[in-house]
Amino acid sequence: MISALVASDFATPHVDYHALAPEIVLGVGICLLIVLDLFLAESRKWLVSTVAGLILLGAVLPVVTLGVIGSDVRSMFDGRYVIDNFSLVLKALFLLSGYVVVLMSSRDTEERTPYQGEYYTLLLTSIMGMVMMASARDLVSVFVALEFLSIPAYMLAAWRKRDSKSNEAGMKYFLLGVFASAVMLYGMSLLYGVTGSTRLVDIGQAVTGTDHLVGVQVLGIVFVIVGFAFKVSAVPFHTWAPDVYQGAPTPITAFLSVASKAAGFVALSLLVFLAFPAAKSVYEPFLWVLAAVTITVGNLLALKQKNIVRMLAYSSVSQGGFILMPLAVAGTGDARTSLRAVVVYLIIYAATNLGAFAVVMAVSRKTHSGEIASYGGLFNYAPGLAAVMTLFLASLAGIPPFGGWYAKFGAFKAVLEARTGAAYTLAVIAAVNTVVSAAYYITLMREMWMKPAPDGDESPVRVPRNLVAALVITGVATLAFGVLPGFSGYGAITGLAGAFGR
Amino acid sequence: MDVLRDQNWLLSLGTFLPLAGVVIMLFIPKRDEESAKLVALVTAIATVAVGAYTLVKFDYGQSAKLQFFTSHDWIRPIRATYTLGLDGISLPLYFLSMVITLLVIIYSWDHIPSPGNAKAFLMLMLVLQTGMAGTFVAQDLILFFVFFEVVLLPMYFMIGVWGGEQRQYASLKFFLYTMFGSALMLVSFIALFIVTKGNTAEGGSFAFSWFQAHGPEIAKTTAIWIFAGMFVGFAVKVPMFPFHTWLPDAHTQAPTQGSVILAAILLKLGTYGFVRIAIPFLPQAAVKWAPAIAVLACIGIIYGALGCLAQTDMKRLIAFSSVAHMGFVMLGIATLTPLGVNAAVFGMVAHGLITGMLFFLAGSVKERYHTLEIRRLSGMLKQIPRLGWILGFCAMASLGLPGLAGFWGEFPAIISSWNPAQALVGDGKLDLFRVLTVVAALGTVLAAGYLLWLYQRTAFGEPNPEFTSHGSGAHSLSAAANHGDDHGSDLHDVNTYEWIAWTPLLIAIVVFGVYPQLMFKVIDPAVTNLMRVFGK
Amino acid sequence: MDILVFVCAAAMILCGALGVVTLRHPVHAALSLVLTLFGVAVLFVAQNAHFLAVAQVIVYAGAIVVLFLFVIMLLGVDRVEDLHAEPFKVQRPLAIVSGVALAGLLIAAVVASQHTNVAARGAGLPGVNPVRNDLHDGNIVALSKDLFSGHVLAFELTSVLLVIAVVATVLLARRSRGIDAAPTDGQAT
Repeated sequence: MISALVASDFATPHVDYHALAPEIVLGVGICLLIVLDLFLAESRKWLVSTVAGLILLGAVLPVVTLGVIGSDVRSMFDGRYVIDNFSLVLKALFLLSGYVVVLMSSRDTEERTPYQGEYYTLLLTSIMGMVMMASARDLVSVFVALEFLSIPAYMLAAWRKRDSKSNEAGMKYFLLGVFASAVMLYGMSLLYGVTGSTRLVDIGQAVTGTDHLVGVQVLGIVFVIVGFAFKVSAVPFHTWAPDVYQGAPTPITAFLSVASKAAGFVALSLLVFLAFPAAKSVYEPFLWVLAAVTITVGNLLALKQKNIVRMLAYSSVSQGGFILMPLAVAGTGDARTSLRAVVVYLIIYAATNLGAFAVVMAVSRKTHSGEIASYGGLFNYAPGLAAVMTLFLASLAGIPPFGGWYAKFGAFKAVLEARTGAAYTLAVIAAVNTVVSAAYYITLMREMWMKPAPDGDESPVRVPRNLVAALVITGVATLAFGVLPGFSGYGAITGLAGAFGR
Repeated sequence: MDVLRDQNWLLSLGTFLPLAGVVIMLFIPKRDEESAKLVALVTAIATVAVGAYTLVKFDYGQSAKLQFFTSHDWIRPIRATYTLGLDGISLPLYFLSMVITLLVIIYSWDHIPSPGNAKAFLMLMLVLQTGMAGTFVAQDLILFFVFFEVVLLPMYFMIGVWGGEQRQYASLKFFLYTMFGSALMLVSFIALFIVTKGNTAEGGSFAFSWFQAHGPEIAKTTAIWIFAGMFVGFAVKVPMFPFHTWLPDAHTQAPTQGSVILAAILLKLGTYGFVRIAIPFLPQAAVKWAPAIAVLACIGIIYGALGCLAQTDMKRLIAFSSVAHMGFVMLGIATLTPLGVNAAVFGMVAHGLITGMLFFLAGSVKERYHTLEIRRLSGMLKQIPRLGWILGFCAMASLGLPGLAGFWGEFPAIISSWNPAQALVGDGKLDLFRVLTVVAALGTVLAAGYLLWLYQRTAFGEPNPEFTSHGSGAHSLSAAANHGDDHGSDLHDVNTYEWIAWTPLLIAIVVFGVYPQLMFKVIDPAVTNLMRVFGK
Repeated sequence: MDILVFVCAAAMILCGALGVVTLRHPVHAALSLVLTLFGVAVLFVAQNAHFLAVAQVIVYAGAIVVLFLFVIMLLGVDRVEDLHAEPFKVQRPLAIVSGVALAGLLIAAVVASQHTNVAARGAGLPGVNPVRNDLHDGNIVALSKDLFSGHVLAFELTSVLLVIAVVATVLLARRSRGIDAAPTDGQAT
């Protein structure tokens, strides 16, 4: 009798294998990589990185076909896992930035560590978590995706086992990351407790308006946001970022500062647009403060840095503040514009920042130093590298015609669209900060173009082919997004399935 | 708005042709300086040829209308379009930018400043040219912003890499000031767009024609705030007092070519922005801001002149004179009358020709004497007479001698401030403007003072014995440069490249001075068209 | 009755948690963790979530704490970390203050919300499947339905995560083969 009852109740979930293909390719690829690593001789380990790159490109393929075939929303598991344009664009972003990180890594790992199989396995796992995050539409999936992308990242940050800085990086990242997860999980359970559902859309319906917004709901919202604020290293939850960025291997630093951060913002956007749309009186002031403080403090600290990786770390903290800006006005402003601004910022920032780190790697092969002062004379002995670095820095500073201006433009537009005093204030704070940020980007440019080489060594830099490829991809993308921003997928994001009252 | 769409590829070609040269130069090895120079020169000549063709094909009977108009979707989601067009205001500036770039490249043939690297230097110059030309023909706010900013980095590197002793400080100051201005400017552009498009989520446009139609409709307080953002952006570039402090440093430290371009074209981007964007789009705010602008302009005139009198360095003196001259331009604009704006646009071109020429001269003097200290220079007329006479000619033009181009920028501007626009009179600002007329007139006297004094000290009298072959020759700078007793090799008179580069400017100064109508008749219909909103 | 069970269980949980943090000896700390976990299990029983209660006892109190104890024994029971070194003197008072503030905030929030009938509003939502208490294993049915329909993807992918955790652990614990002992250069330092 019981079996009959169960059978009648249980409906086999519909699985759309085409929609899940990127995850499946990645999952199979991860297992393949582990096995492959077992049977490869030490001399042929380079194959691992090639295979890892191919797996990532293979996973992009279904993303492309899904994008081409239809714009209809594919929803699975009772709306808990959704493939729409938003998630497709971001999946492509994660997979491609993962590919660039693989390109950046392959030379790096060959020279530094024997654990190549494990390195790429963990990298792919982390990317898989991000790919999931783009589609996750309920608290459980969001949390699993978050752990999926974080746990391998803790390990990757501590990759250079004998380097105390790397150990410190891994340890700090792990402890603060786990703490953030705990805070977030507590917030999630509060949200579940008051709404009775883990689906973001349901939560969005239950958390309605200020009059019903009881204290527990407020706490839930704030805790969840705090959890992700750690992930995106918003001030004052940013303290791990510089140490971790400095200690981790450079490709991993690039990966953390771009992809991992983007995943945090994706989750934050999902929550803001799907779970809290009616609670704008709670999240908007909170995010407003976070954004303003993050931009300002990140910039001021970046000004003082002498080490390029730390400088880029603080710069990425401050850039994160710019991405928070549209979210801080998502309710009062135009939600669609805000969402687009976030996604486009993530895409352009990814191309630019990955490129900047690729240059850092290329230069450090010669100078063996991360000091900003060691970039002196770069324009004389490696004009190409100096030029592309200038491109990336100008893009980060938001100078047309390089991509960054369009990202900043979108953020400003979204904020001003709200037309409130708070929004105008935020826009002006951000505008002033743009100038402050220009000051430290320009310091590096000045070093490269106008100072002599510190040790007088002007022999040319030999840039390995994989780094050249990474530089070309990111450089072309940065320039193309600036000149023809239409390509950045801005137009494709017509909405987030389930958001905006649909 | 009426537009003429004939030959609508012409402006794109003229704007982006220099970039083609840049791409070619990328493939020239760094050591092959001759080829790099040649490619740059050919590109610049081709660009000027396109510009000349534009001049010929321009329909002077309809110079109020945008000609060679082209419009395409560019960034559809944000309603930004790729719109180019040229009317009577843009035409002289557009062509001037091309000519100046060509002349500067000719001048660079044997004047590549230290530390060399002609390839990079000329590539930056061509990029700069694209930005400048694009700014003058863009008819879309976003496109304008992009071109406006393209100029920033090449100029920064030009000052910072090829500049003088204090180049890093000067270039950083230039960069941060401009960046500050443009950040606020961008915010106000977006605010303007959002306010004009109404409450619809989609709709609106960044095209100039949209703002001309809908800008005057927005609430006055909002308009005043938006104007404030634009004001900072453009005023930094002009530069207006109190945002001018980057200018003397940048000019003094920049290489000659950089100074020429900076003075002749880049400063005009700011005033052009006022004429083309801030004032026509936000007329109600302009009326409120005009008195403040006029006052700042007059402070600039007097302050610049006094600054000049205090300078000991010739190049720095010319830089301060720029502050004063741009004050006249801004005063003309602030009157909001067709006469004033006509004078301003004329003044922009005239200042470009004259001050550009003065910076060329300063560069050549520096090359010959290895110093620009006024008290060490003297007797130029005896030593290098042709250069001395040209300097005298330019000083006369700069102080506004009737019959030379400078006069037609200053004089009508002063006249127009006696009778500002009806809207300003209605606001009770007539007395203020009349006071300013007197102040500005005083400024011209001061201008005569500092320029004649400069000329008298540098050109008249006996040559400084330090620089004659009988002199001590012990001064470290010249001794190091010449290593011996003979200064003759450095102290040559105007050479061929200089003649080629300078003659067109000198001729233009005379022609526009004698027959200003040549330019006024092109500018006037367009200015009248833009200033219609203010009545009168 | 309900309130009595709740208070007792809550007291167990809190005492256990405090013990984990304050007790110096690692074995004692691990044992007070058991207290906490048992308290949670009691709360599960009080909510009729028998399956979860059993899982809690078997997996957490049974397996995981035993594993902890193994590790503590392997590393040496008598090793005591010196926790008195304080780089920043203000840290500890600051932590206490913010901890108390947070606790106050939580209590205030709960008190403010106590009059809102949350369950009544939540019950109508599509995602909620009330446990059927008329079946003697209703818990298991509800749980498995949830895991294998709505959350099946997250559930399945967690297995990959476990594999990766194993890979990472092996990597951490593995003795170096001499190659990564080479001094790293200043590439990112």
